[in-house]
Amino acid sequence: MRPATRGTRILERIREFFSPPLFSDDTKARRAKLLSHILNAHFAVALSFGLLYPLRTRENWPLALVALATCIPVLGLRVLLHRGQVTLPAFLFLLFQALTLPLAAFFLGRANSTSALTAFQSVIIVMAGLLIGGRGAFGFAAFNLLANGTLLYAEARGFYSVNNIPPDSGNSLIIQAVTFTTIAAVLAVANRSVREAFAQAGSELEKHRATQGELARATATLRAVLDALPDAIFRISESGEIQDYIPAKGFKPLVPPEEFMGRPLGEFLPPDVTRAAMRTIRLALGNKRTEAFEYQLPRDGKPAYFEARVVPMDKTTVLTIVRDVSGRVQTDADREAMLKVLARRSAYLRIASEVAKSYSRILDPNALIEQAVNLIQEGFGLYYAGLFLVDEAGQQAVLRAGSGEAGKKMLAEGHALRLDEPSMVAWCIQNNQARVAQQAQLDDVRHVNPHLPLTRSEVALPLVSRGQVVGALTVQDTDENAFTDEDIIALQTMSDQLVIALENARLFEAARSELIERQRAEHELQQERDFAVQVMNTLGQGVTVTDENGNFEYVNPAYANLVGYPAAQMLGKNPAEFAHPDDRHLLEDVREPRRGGRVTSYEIRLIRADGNIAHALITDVPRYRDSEIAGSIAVVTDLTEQKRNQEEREILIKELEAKNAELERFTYTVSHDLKSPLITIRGFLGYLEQDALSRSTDRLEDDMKRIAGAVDKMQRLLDDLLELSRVGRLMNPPQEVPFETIVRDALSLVEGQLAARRIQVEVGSGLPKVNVDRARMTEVMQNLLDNAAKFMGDQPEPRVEIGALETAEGYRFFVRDNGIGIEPQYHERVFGLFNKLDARTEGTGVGLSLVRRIIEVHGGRIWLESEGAGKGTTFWFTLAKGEGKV
Amino acid sequence: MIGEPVRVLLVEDNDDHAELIIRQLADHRVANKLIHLTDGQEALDYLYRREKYTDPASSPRPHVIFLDLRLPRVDGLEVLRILKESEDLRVIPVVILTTSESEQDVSGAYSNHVNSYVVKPVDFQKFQKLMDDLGFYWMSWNMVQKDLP
Repeated sequence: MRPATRGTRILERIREFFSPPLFSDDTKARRAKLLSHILNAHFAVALSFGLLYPLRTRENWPLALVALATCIPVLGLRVLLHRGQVTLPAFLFLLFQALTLPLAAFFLGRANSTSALTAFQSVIIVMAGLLIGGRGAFGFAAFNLLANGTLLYAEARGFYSVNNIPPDSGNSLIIQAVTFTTIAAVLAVANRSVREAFAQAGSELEKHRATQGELARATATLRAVLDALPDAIFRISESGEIQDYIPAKGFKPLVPPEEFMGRPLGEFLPPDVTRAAMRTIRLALGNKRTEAFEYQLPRDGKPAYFEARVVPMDKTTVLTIVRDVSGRVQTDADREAMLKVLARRSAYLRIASEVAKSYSRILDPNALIEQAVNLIQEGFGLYYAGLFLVDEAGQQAVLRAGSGEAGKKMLAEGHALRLDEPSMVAWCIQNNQARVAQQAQLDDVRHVNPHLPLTRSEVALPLVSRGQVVGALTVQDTDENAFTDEDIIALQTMSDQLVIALENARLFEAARSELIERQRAEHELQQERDFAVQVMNTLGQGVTVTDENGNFEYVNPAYANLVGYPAAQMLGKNPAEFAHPDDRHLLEDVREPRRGGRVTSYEIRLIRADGNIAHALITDVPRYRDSEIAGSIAVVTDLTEQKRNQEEREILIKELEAKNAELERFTYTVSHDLKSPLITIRGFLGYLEQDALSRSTDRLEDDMKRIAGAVDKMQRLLDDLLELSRVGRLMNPPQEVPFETIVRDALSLVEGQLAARRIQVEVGSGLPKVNVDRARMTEVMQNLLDNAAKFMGDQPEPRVEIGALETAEGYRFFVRDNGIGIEPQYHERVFGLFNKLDARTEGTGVGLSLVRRIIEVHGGRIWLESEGAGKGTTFWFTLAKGEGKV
Repeated sequence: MIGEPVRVLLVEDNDDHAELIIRQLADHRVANKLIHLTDGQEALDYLYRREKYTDPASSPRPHVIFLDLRLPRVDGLEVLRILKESEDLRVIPVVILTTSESEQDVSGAYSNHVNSYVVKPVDFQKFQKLMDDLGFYWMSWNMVQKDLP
């Protein structure tokens, strides 16, 4: 295309502007076209008038200007037209025209010739009819009549005068009305008929178009069909001469067309095909109907199949449509093959399921293998199936099962194939890959087996368990090419299954033997445990086992016995529940060393079921479970007896020590106090001797007295000592006696001393009965009363009070005097042997020792209270109620 | 040394023993300088100038104390202990004069800083000899501290 210059482009635009727009609606398009032309005409007339009119008479220029001015709205109407509006610009244009005419007539008074006005107005009505339609024509007719009527009225009133012409009487208006109405009516009718004509023409065209479309479509379909048709079409004469040929897609003639065109069939087709073709042509022509025949031609070394349909055209020629049916024939063959495969597959499935069933049933590996090879051999209709397993050394594949007689023989011979020697089995084991020999004698590695002379094809399949080749399956057939890919896949699947079953069977056997082993071990363990339990049950020491939470898992009878609860009742409980509250921390303390795996021993007090305390030595040993410390094992030794013995021994030792000390003091005191009178006696005897020698008698009497006094004192000492030693050794049997009796007895013994010092004795009422050695108890009271009398001092109203109080532990008796009293530091000393507070008082100092001894022998104790010198003394002593412990 | 009278405090509860001691010591010109008390409490009262012994003139400090062990009220060893713990009184030599030969008494006395421990012999000859020696030693040989507090 030639490139458009700028000028031509502008011209193009202008032309486009002044051309009518196109509309699909025919009427609209037609009116637009008409309007466009009218507008163009107006534009041209107005423009030329505006430019040319002033040239003639200069004073005409205002009219020229008006004419030019009308060009501008016309352009605007064009724009509306291009915007797709037709009626609106048409209406506006006609309205403008219709207004302009009467106005011009009115103002100019020139164009007022009725005929001219009528002519112009008629044109307007015609245009309205054409541009807007019948109603438009009537509309503008009415408008024009109205305008003209107005003009006439104005003229009659003399608003304007018309030159040279007499005033219209109104006839012109009637003529105009008739003219305009007629024009409008004609236009309306014309318009309808035109529309109808158009509508008819349009529908005709539509029909025509539809027919044409259908035709085109049919042609296209036909074309496509012909194009797609794989057939070649030949026109053949009665004599077999090819007269015409239409080639077909996907059909390449075996001979180029120039070689067969115009020549008889026999020249380029094989005789049998020619014969069949000629027979069919004759048949088709004779029967006047389509006949068909099939034939085969070699193509690219393979047979190609064709189907020819022979259609009689006229009496001597036929159309022969030839189609290549090689594909279909092939497909049929394939389908047959597929069916065969399907049948075989279902057979495999059956065999496989049978094999699987037997696999799952048979748990003895050997039986399983034997069954498997037989099933495979029978199921696949094979000559032979055998199964090899690699021996433990990995040196050779040993035949474990073989089908038929040959199999039995080979098994009996112990048939094995070395893995380093060539054989299909060895190869497939070494390469973990199936080896297929469709023609057995051609295989390079095949081991020729004399027991299987009929083998023509053979497959060896590896048996793989956990990635390890454990053996191989060999299958052999008497035909060559006996094994299809499907067979091999099926066989491989089966061998995989077999391996799994074999593995399962082996595992089962292993599990069974392990089970037996476990049962044996368990039995041994049981026996060991029984032994251990027996030992623990009979053990004198307590044994406890706690779990990881520290609760009892086991306690032996000795421990249960120690604590006093049934063993079953203690299980699951915490040892702390049985420990003395103050000792529970020991159980906590031991945890740390236990965690460290250390053995700890500690003593603890346990609270027995009966509430008594048991002492125990616990040796805590960490308990290991799966090499983790979980709980403890404790050996508990009952220390209660030992503790009691120890305590008793300690008490005895203390008592013994006390006795020893007493004895020591006693012997010491005795020796000291017995020596004193001896020294006195010897000393004064010495002086007596000296005096006797010097015949001096001054001191004789005094010294003799001293000697006699010392002898007396010694006598008393010895008596008292004897008395003291008797207490506890020589006792009278206890008897129940009112204490008052004892007091009376004692009072009668010390009556002299009491009377001499004029001491008043008060005996409390309600003294209880006591169970005592009456004589000894009398001795106690006698000594205490004697003591009171002795240490009364210079008390002007000497008094002694005797009474008793009842307490929880028994009776508490007192002897109270108002004598000299005893200072606190001497309260204990007074009870010591030979201890006297006043050297010059009578007595040996044995009295209170004796009293204490007697009270202690009765299970009581004695003490004194005195607030000091001059405050008097109260001796207290206790005795048990009723019975005295003697 | 001669002519200087030595004051002896004899604490002895046994009158007969006191008579024997005093009689034997009489030869050593100490009889009039000997104070005899019969129990431990009285001896302490005397030395601490308490009760009836508050007047220093009538209760002068002894130069040596002869102390029996078995005494009423306050035992001899207790008296010794109190004396030896006293700043003022520990300077006075104390001789234990007793019938006790007990090892407990001997060690008890020495551990309380006794100056001498003498056992009264039962044999009269020995008793006389001991008293002579004691008198001679303490009243002649032994040098006493003057101006006791």
